[in-house]
Amino acid sequence: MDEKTFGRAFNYIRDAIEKSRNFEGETEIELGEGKFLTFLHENEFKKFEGEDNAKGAAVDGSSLKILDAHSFIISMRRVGYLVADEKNLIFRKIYPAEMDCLSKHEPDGIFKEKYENLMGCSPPKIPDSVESINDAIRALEEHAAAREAMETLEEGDILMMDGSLQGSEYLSDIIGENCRIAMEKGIHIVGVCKRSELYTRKLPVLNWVKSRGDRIFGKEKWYYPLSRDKGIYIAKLHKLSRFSFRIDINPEEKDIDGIMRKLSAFSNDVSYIGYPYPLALIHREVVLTSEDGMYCRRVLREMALKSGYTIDDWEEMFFDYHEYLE
Amino acid sequence: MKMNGEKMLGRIIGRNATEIVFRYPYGEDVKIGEILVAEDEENGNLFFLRVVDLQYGQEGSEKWGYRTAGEMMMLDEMEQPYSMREKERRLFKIGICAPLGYVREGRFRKPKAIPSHFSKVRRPGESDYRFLDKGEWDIEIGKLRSGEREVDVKVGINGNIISHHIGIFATTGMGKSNLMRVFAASAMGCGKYGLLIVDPHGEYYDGGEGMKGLRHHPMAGDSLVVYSPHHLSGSHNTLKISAYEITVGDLQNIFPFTEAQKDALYALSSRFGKEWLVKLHDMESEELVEQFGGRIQDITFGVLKRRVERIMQSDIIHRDENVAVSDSIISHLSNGKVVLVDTSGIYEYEELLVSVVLARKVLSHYKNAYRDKAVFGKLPHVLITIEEAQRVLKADSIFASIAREGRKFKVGLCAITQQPKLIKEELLSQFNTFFILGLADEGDRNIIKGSAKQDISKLEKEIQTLEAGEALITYPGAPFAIPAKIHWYDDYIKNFDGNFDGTGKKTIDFDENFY
Ligand SMILES: Nc1ncnc2c1ncn2[C@@H]1O[C@H](COP(=O)(O)OP(=O)(O)OP(=O)(O)O)[C@@H](O)[C@H]1O
Ligand SMILES: [Mg+2]
Repeated sequence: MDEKTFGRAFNYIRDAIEKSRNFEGETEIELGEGKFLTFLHENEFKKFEGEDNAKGAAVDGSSLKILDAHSFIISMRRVGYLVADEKNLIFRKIYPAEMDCLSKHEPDGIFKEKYENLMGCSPPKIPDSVESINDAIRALEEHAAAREAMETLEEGDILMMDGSLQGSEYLSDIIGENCRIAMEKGIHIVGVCKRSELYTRKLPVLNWVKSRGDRIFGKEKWYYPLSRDKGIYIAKLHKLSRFSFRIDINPEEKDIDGIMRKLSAFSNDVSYIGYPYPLALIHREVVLTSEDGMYCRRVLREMALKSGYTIDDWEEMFFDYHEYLE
Repeated sequence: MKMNGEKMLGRIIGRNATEIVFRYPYGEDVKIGEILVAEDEENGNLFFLRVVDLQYGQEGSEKWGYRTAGEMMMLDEMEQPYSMREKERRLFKIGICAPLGYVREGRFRKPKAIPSHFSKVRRPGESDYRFLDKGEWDIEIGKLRSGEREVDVKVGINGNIISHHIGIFATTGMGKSNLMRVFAASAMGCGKYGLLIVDPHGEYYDGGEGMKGLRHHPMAGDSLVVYSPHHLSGSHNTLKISAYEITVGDLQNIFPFTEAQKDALYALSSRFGKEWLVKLHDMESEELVEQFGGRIQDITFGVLKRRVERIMQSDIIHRDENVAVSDSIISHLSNGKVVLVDTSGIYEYEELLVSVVLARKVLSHYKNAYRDKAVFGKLPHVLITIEEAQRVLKADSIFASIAREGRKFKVGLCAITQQPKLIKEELLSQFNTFFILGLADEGDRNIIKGSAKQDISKLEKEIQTLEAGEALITYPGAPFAIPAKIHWYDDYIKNFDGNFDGTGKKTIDFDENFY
């Protein structure tokens, strides 16, 4: 590698830094499901203060591929929600982990069935790969859990989903329906993204917003509307947080400050300063780790061996390049 | 959650047969030295564990802890409020235990197995200690202790092992004297053992400021015999040793002698028999040189005479062969009495002389009796206590002989010392029962570790943190090193429940129809 190689890379980096520092004006943002135009300007930042009393539910789920054969996968999912106020957890509900077999040829059966159960109609569209079906099922189950959680919530409560509210095209009807139910009951539904995929050409939008926000407000809480139409915001929920998050809010909502105040009331736990603690806790409850996967693989394999199959039968079926390469 | 009336503390998470680890809630206070039990639900065994160390635990990575502490410090500095939810699930403590053994069908067994995974751990209830009652002790010392907590189970030792020698080890102020008082009180209570206490500090008779002494014991009138060189307020005898009962060997226990001097002493003793000391004192050097045909130089006699002069000047030494208390002391001991010899206020050499003469005479009395089975069988075990034992437990002293051969003749030694490391390991290993109180010095703890009859290697931290009156007791056959809280003497005699009726007389259950 010569100086030129580094030079080229560095020029690109410099360009990006400069832009995130000084950019002002209109830029196009890409979401998974489409693009939108936004006008980045310092005047759009909004400081907010104080914390309201808050009560709400947090929903999260986790999925894990346990085994991958040539023609199907075995996957596992666990979904749950918990209800808390700004001080304490009130109760939690964790659904039993579910294990499914998804055929690579006809992977849509389970998704269709679950969709129909929840919505009373067929899904408008179905993901084509087996992996995206698995994720779509989990997201669907999360929204179903959200709907159940809403039954325990009251007017003014907040419903926190892990991830964006934009959702994929397969689920937008479900999300729309949940938003409608929430509006009807006076519940504020929000999606908090730990990682956000917002792309623009060369401009790291999150960095731009964060560094600008901190420059303007220092140690204050603020939010920035990337798109009021779509209900996409970036917010710093604790004065001293080092992180800001993308937060999706139902575009119909009027009192954004109020919602931010409620979210920030949840965001003073020392273990996760600036992130709503109910979401952190529910994540810990539902997460499926690689150890969980290992355990399930072992149980299944033992069952096979006890039923008279050999290790060779098993390995032929689930030849694992990962293990092979390790 | 309650188990056997006791709250569940935590669950075992693993490790091995010599070290068992359990998790317990962060809000719970477990102390080093505490005894806990683990109930093995798989087989009904009840494991006894002793907490030997404590650690922090957290769910999640070490990084999380560092980060959270950092956030707290930052928020503190900014005076920002914060909280931590689900503390009780994220934070916990870890207890590290030495397995003591397990109880199965009422019998205590050595820890050859380990409790099942995730067995529940709790504090033992009194009924769990039932197996300890089987120890059949009769000299009560205190109560069982679990960490700092006293458990309502009495502990003691069996008087029949006193002749296998007892060591009491403690740094100053940790409770040696109180333990000795309690020991004496129990011995008085059961009346089955002879106990000779030589008391150089004069602290046992009266107890001193605001404290009770042996004379306050409800059974003192009957079971305690006191000898003192000075006047005491209660009934006592005057301490007198006759010059005729002091041997050449006794003197060698007290003073160093050159080879030439030793030769002279033996020559004197073989020529004059038990009169040797008086003769040496009364005769002039020239006369002595002549007596021994000039074989011994007059300067040798000169040195010996000066030594002997000090002895003959002593108030407790009497020239009359018949004025001596040793025989009556021996007879009291043979009757199961506690004999207190107050040697306070006299010179150290006088005190040593008294203990050496008495110890030697007790041993030889028992040795003589040994030849006659019937007589010997009736003699009680006897225990001779020596304070600051490191002074006299030397290779060829009378006390070393008792340590080596006393058990055969029912004569035991109770060595009290602050510095066990100054006692030869070979001698220390003759001591079967240890009372280990707080010991600050590592060298002292190490020497004891090597000689104790139970494995106390893991109890380093506990011994270091023992408070006054807290002890570990080890003896052969004990299920484990028994943690005890020694009775406070004053309280102990207040509620003394020996067989007495309050008048200082033992009540004897006899059948009125017998006559
Ligand atoms: N069993 C006990 N219960 C309560 N307190 C005790 C107990 N044993 C000792 N103490 C406390 O410790 C103090 C010292 O006890 P003691 O005189 O027996 O110690 P020691 O080891 O003989 O000290 P020294 O080395 O000075 O002779 C007592 O005055 C008392 O306050
Ligand atoms: Mg003392």
